[in-house]
This record gives sequence, structure tokens and C-alpha cells, in this order.
Amino acid sequence: MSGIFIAIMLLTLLALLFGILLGFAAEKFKVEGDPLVDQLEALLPQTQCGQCGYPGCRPYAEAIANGEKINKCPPGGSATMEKLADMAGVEPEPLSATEEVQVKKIAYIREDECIGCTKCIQACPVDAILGSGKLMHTVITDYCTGCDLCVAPCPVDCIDMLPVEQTVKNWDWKLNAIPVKILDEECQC
Amino acid sequence: MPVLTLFEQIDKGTLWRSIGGIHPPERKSLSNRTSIASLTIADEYIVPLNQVGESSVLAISEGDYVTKGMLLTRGTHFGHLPVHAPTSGHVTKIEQRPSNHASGLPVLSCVITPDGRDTLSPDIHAPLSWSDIAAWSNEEILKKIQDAGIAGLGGAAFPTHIKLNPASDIELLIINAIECEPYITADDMLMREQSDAICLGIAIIHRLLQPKRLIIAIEDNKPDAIEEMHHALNRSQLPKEGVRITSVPTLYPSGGEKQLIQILTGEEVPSGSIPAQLGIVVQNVATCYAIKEAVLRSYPLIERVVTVTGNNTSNPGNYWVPIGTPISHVLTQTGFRGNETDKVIIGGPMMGYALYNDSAPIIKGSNCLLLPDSKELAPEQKELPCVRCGECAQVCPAQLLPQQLFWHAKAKEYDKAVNFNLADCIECGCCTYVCPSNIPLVEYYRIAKSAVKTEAEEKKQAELAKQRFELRTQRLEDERLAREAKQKEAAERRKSTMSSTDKDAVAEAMARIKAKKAAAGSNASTTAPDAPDNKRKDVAAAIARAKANKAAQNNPDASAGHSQPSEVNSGDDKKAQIAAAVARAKAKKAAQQGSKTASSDESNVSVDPIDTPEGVTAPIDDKKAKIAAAVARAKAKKVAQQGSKIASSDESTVSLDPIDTPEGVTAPIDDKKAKIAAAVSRAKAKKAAQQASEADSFDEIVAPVKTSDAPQEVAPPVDDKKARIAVAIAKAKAKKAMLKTESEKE
Repeated sequence: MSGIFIAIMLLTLLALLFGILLGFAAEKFKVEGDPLVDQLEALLPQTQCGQCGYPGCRPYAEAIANGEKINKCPPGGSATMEKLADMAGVEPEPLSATEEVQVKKIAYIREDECIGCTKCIQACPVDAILGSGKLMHTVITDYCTGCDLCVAPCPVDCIDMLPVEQTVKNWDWKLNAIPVKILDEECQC
Repeated sequence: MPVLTLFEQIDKGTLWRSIGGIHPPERKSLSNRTSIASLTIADEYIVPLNQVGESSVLAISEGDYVTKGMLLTRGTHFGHLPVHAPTSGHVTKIEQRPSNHASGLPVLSCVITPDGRDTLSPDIHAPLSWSDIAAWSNEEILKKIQDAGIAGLGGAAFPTHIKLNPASDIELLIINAIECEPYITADDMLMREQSDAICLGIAIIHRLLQPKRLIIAIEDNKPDAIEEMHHALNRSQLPKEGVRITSVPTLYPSGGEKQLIQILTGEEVPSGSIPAQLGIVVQNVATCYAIKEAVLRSYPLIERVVTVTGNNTSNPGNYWVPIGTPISHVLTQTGFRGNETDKVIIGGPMMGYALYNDSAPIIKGSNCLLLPDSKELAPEQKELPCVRCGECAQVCPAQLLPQQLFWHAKAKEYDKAVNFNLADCIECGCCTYVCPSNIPLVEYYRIAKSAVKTEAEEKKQAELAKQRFELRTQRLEDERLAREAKQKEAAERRKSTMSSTDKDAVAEAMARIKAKKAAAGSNASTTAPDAPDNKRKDVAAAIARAKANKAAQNNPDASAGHSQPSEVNSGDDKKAQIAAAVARAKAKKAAQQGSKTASSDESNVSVDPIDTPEGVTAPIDDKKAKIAAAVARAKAKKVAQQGSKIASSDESTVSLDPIDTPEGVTAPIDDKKAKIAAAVSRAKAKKAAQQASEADSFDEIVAPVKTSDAPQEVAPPVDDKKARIAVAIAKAKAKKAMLKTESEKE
């Protein structure tokens, strides 16, 4: 009889001990914020274009963490969608917007036609347009994410979205039409 | 047995076991039997200006005359590598030209048309002796090397002045004269012919770096070069202690920087770091020659030795080729025997790439032009599945697992390939060479590497975009808060400065506004019984009254004109008012049914019943239509000219004036007049349309005064349409007239 009593006492004490331990650990090693949101955000292309319907990439990442669909990011393409599906633990689904051929585009201002209205500067989410009132504006191409947001506000339609030019620097072996073959030699001297 | 230190082992000439490697057929005897020759001057030289726009600017412009060795670009960046004119002549163009790059993409290049004299730049002087530069500081020498635009001539073309200015102390200097790749003999021939100059160059490097040991490493398949270098070394200023020439057994790719260090010291350069971190610097032997020329003669790097070899050339050998010489010129000069489809390979058979366009120039890194015939090349073979034989892993000099890299690269699992140290692949091609399944492994690695690079670039870009977005959001928020705080402060300041009387005044003003509002409300209710239940009529009448009132106040002249007809036609104010209101309501109804443009004519039609047939026949009769158009134009003109709303009371009478009509008719006859009239009428019609509703209302007020109510009631809905047609025709005519005059003008 006393054996059962001791066992119950022991287990209760143990439960209490572990409970306190867990509670302490939960307080001590508390994770601030939702790590999933950060991870999801890291996968998004950060164009801040708002094509997903959210004002920026972070809000969309938060929405995905709360169950929003993962197929609303056209700049990321299907590769990003798959990664998001993986991270969020949902089934991949085709992109909601028709996916165009993924060519990176960048805004260019036709500087002769610019009237200096600053409307595009206000629209740019990453401050990639330089200029001042009644003075010509121009795009800092290194900072442009190609989000398209400056095109619509321009009253004189002087902003073009042009594909990034191929140069020797950003050339990709993949695009090599004639594959360069490493030559093997057979004949012996 | 005592343990020897590293330096003692080096002094003894110990070699460490090299990892991997292959023994491809050397084929060097093809090109190393003749001395280094020169080419005749080409028709044009194309000097790529790679750094222009990034770290340097042009020093010349189109049309300038340049001498051989003149500076073409200028820069202050520490990585800046200037380029020089390879011969004297005129800069004919600075434009995009096909590059000597695996992509063949065009790059900005300076095209120089030689004058054939090959005049040397005045900066180039007679060679100084070793004692002349004894007093020079290291900075001066490095400046000389940078100004000469010297890049590593082994192939990678890394700026030499950066390499010779390392952050850490250098203990070991290795001169790389291995030249392990088959076919290439450029360094071999240079050592045989210019050994003393090379040793001078080595002495300059030795002076800059002050290494404890110096090894000149030459592969044992170049006995002549080894002998020459031994003699030159004995003659040179280099110290006898700690300097040696080491013969390295022939093995491909022992000429790779990291591989050579492994063989000579047994040390492995850690992944992602450079040899300088181990206290080692490796320099190519041809670079030493260029350094000597630069420091002692101020002779920039404008030419290099290029091996032209292969069965497709009738004169295989080594040539002094100016940088920028079109490859097509080299081909014709050396007797290229191949046809269009035969490949031209830049570099050796193991690491080179096929050229797209033979108008591309020779650049600083091109050491070999390989022109193989079809028998020399392995035929294009179909890629077979990997059989996991492991041959590639055994020959890999970087100790990688080529199969694993291949699997992941093929599956596009680039992150996994990176985990297998993809970045350490030197693309030497040994794995491809031994692969029994003919898998172009290096191709896969190159693709994977560029994909990894792009991904990293995108990640960096995304991170930057995110930062900028966050900063911007923060800034906007701060601005908003600052604005709000400012407004609050201003409001508080106002409040505090406001005296009690001011407050009373405000309260009073508010009360007045309220009272006024109440009065207006009661007024509206009193006028309501005036007109029958139709509320719209009532409002219209109120507006009409208000407008009449305003007109009378504003313009006494107009009010006189306005009051006249009203006096004549009806004495009773109230009656007239009601009539006006009714007319107004009707007109509004009509206007709602029809377009606004018709409104100016509407009044015309409604005023005079005679006008009606005119409107009906308009589409049929040209002349009549013209008259109608003219009337419309004139009216539009009048409306625009008078501008003020009050003047419209006169308008109806004016429009009936027959004098106006001929004016309109004659207009098309005169070309210029017609054109002006057309343009004006179009503009006016537009303006009139805009004003329509208002102008319309005043016409209507006058209208019922002139004619009885009965025809009025019937007329608007019927005539409205006709009038509209008339106006439309008028507009079309005006347009046509203008087009006609325009075409006539042309």
C-alpha cells in the first residue's frame, strides 16, 4: 500500500519538477516574433511590387504564415512558389498570375521627356529614382527591382521597362547557344 | 633523422606528391622549333576598354592621333588597369565590338587604324640599368607596373600590381613557368630567348616582396628553357642563396596556382582563400618579362607572345602579337588552312573556348590560338549515362567528387553541389578527359557555377532592396509623425495666443452661418408654392432668378439688354419667371436626351420655326448644310468671344442676322481663312460644348419670351435631333476643309 503511495508521490514530484523546468525554459529561451515569417520573407524576391495584394514582401510573408495562398508572387516565379510551399508546408500550386518568361526588367526614364513631376519618385518603394521637382529624374539601375510601380504614375509615359542587357559580366554559360566543348585529343605524337 | 623545416626541404628540391592530374599528349614540338616571330601591322587594332564606365575614363576621343604605347584610359581606382595603343595611328571609332570571350558578346572597344609607322610614344625610353632603379621606392615601382597595365599573362589576367602589393609578408615567391597545357609553348620560347630579361623582372619582383625563398618552377619537358634560365640566373642580380630553379615532372594541371603550391610546398591553399594568406605569391614567367619592360623602359603591356598552333596552320610557332590585333589577321598571317567550320580555340585544348567571331582581338590573357583540324579533335560523342566508375575522382586535382557534383548540377540542385565544394573546381577538364561516358562534366560545372553566382547576386539584390524599402518606410513614417507634431504644435500656439474676444467673434460667426443656413432653408420652402409640385422646376426658377440678379449687378450694359426683351415681351415679372422656369425644365429634359454640343443650336432652332426646315434638309442639301455649319461656327465663335454668360441674351438675335450666313459661306472659298475658321470652329465647338449647359440655360430664358409656348413645347424634342445632325455635319465639314487645305498646302 505504501509502495503505491510512494510511487504516486514520486511521480507527482517528478511531474512538478519537469513542469517547472519546462516553464522556465519557455521563458528563458523565448523566441521573439514568428521565425516562419522571417524565413518566408527571405524567400521572397523583395521587389516590394505589391502584385500579391499586400504592401510589400514582409506583409505577404506574414499573410502566408496566416494561411494566405503561396502563388501570388509573379516576380518570384514558380521557383519561389515552390520554395514557399516547402517552407509553409502546403501543396505547390500554379501561379495566380500568368507567368511570363522570367526576364529581369529594369525601369529606364527617357530623360528628354521627363518633366520633373516627382510622381515616380514617390511611387518607388526602394528609393531607386533620383531627381527633384522640375528637374530631370533618372533610375539608379543597381537599385531598381523592376517592380513596375513607377510606370503608371508617370503623366508623360516616359518610363520604359527594359530587359537587363546581357554583358560579358552577367553572361551565363546556360545561354551559350553553341556549347563550348572541352576538347580531347586522340592522336599520339 | 632530423625533421627538416619547409625551407630546408625546398632548398633540397623536395617535391610533394601532386593529387590527381593526367598525361594528355603534349604536342608541344609543333610550335617550339622556331624562334618567336613578329607579324606585319594589321588593318586595324581593337583594344577592349573593359573598365571604362566602371573604374576608368577614356583618355582619348575619336579622331585622335595616338602613338605606340600611349595611354587610352585613365583611372584612379586601385584596381584600375590602363590600356595602351598597340601601334601609332588614328582612333577611328570607339564602339561595341565582338569580344574575345566565351560568350562573344560585344564590349566597348577602341578601334585604331594604324598609320604604318609604328611611332613609339615619347614616354618609352632606352632601358635603364639595374643600378638606375636602385634608389626607387616600392611605390614608384608598383606605380610603373600599374601604369603599364600589366595583368597576369598566364590566362587569368589579374592585375599584377595588386598581387605584388600583398597585405601580409611573403615568404615564398614562385615563378610559374610550368606551362602544363598541351600545345602551348609561349613561355617556353620566351624563356629560351629572353632569359636575362626575365631574370631582371624576377629581380624586380624579388625586390618588391623580399621573400625568403624564390622558386622558378619549370616542367621537365622544357630542358632547353631550364638550361637557359640556369645560365641567366647565374648572370643576374638575384641572390644566390634561397633562389633555385626546380624542375617539376610533367603532369597536367600542375601549372594551376594551387596545384603548383601543393607540389612545391606540400601546403594546401584553403578553400576560398588566396596563396598570399599562406605567405606565397605565384607569378607567371611572361609577366616577369612584362614587368622588366615596364619598370626599366616604361614600355606598357601592348604585346605578348602567342602560340599559334594546330594542324590547321601552315606556320605553327610563337609570335609577338600586339594586344588588340584581330584574330583574323593572325590567322591570315600564319597561314590558316582550315575552312569556315573549323574551330578556332582561344587557350589550350583543355581549358580553352571556341571563338565565335574571328574579328575579336587578342587580349592580355590569350596565350594560345589553337587551330585544330578535324582529325585532331575527338569527334563529338553522345553523352552516355554516368557509370560511377570513379575515374574522375581519381584525376581531380582539387580532390573533389566530380560524380556527385555532376549529379547535383544536372538535377539543378545547386545548393547541394555547393556543399560538395563546387566553388573549388578549377575547370581544368581532367574529369572530362578521362570520362568513359563522354560526359562534358566541366560544362555542367560551369553552368552550375554561373547559376550559383546569379542566385547569390539576386539574394544580395533582394537584401539591398529590402533594406532600402525598410529605410524608406521608416523615413515616410518619421516624416508623417513630424508633420503631425508640427500641426499640433501650431494649433496649440494659435489657441494659446487667441484672446477671449477672438473666441467670441468665432462663436458669433458660427452663429451667423447657422442663421443664414436656416434662412435659406425657409426661403426655399416659401418659393415652393410658386411653382407646382415639380421640384426641379422650382429649383431651376430659383437659379434663373439668382443668375438674372447677378447679371444685373455685374454688368449694367448686359442687364440693360437683358431687361429690354423681358420688358417688351412680358410686363409681369412673375409670369415671366414661371415661363422661364418651365422653359428651363424643358430645356433640361431636352439636354438630357441629347448631347451637349447641340445646345447652342437648340436655341436657334427653337427660336425661329423657319430654321427647322433648314435643319431637315441639311443632310440633303450641301449648301444649306454649309450655311448651317457656318451659323454653328459663328455662334460658337460668338459664345467664345463674348465669353461672359450674360452676353448670351444678345446671341439669339445675332444668330438670326443674315449677315452672318454669307460670312460663313464665303469662308471655305478662301483657303487660309477656311483653315483658320475650321480650326477656330473646332476649338470653339469644343468650348461651347463645355459651356453648353450654361449657355443653353440663358438661351432658353430668352427663347420663350420671343415665341409662344405651344411651338416651344413641341419643337425641342423634334428639332433637337436635327440640330444635332446639323452640328455634327458642320464639324465634319470643318474638318474636311482643314484636311483639304492641308493637302493643298502640301
